[in-house]
Amino acid sequence: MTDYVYGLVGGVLLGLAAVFLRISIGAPLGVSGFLSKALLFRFKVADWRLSFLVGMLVVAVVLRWTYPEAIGESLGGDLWRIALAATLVGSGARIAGGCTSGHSLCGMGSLDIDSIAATLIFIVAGAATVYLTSGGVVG
Amino acid sequence: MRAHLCAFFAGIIFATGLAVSGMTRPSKVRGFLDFFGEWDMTLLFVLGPAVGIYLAGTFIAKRRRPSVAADCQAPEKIGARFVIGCVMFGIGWGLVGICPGPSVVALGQGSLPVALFFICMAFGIGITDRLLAKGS
Repeated sequence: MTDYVYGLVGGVLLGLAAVFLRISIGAPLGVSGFLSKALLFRFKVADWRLSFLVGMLVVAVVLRWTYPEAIGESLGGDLWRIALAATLVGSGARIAGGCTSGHSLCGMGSLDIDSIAATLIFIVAGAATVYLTSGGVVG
Repeated sequence: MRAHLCAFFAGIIFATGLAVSGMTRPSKVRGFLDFFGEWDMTLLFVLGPAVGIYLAGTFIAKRRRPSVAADCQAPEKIGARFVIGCVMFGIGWGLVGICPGPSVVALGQGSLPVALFFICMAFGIGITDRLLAKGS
């Protein structure tokens, strides 16, 4: 029950942050896209996206000292599995033109058909993966 | 400067939302994807208000003044490549239970697995951008 309440409060914050960015800068909020621009290591290209990412990192550091439980859950599985998953997440998000923030939040919030399709495929592929990996079929 | 300040503020609110909502907890995400086991519907409570607020907020903003020039790139269109990308993302998401936004916040753990995740994700993003730029 409390998890649902935290979920709702967090969801409201996510929505507000995305609306604020959309209104103040005029761009949709997409973390994988921001990272893509930031990874070019050209300040003029990344521009305000760097500040967004720095804001996220500030929260990460503050939470580490104030409320580490919020971000303390360790990533399960072997390191090779984490490496594989992360590469798929990064590469897949770029091929799909967005990740959970760009497609599932802003895209769906703009009633974009592609983003709704993307979110459904994310969930179906993710659910299949969880089914195969938690049912003892693989790993 | 103003854009930087606004983006910085948005980043703080966004990361706080991710931490509060439980999106930084892989077990919550994998629990949501576990339709055939003990399904955890928390993510619906996260996504519902987030999408609703974005829908309402951008609608109100559009009515108040003409839509601001977005610098968003042309969105990827539905096709084989798009579906493959989405499936790849979904598999990675399901394998570990974390996506790009929460992985940035989880860097605060200062742990090897999260650092590895972030570096490999950055590698995936960078190499794919290069390949896509070459291919099209």
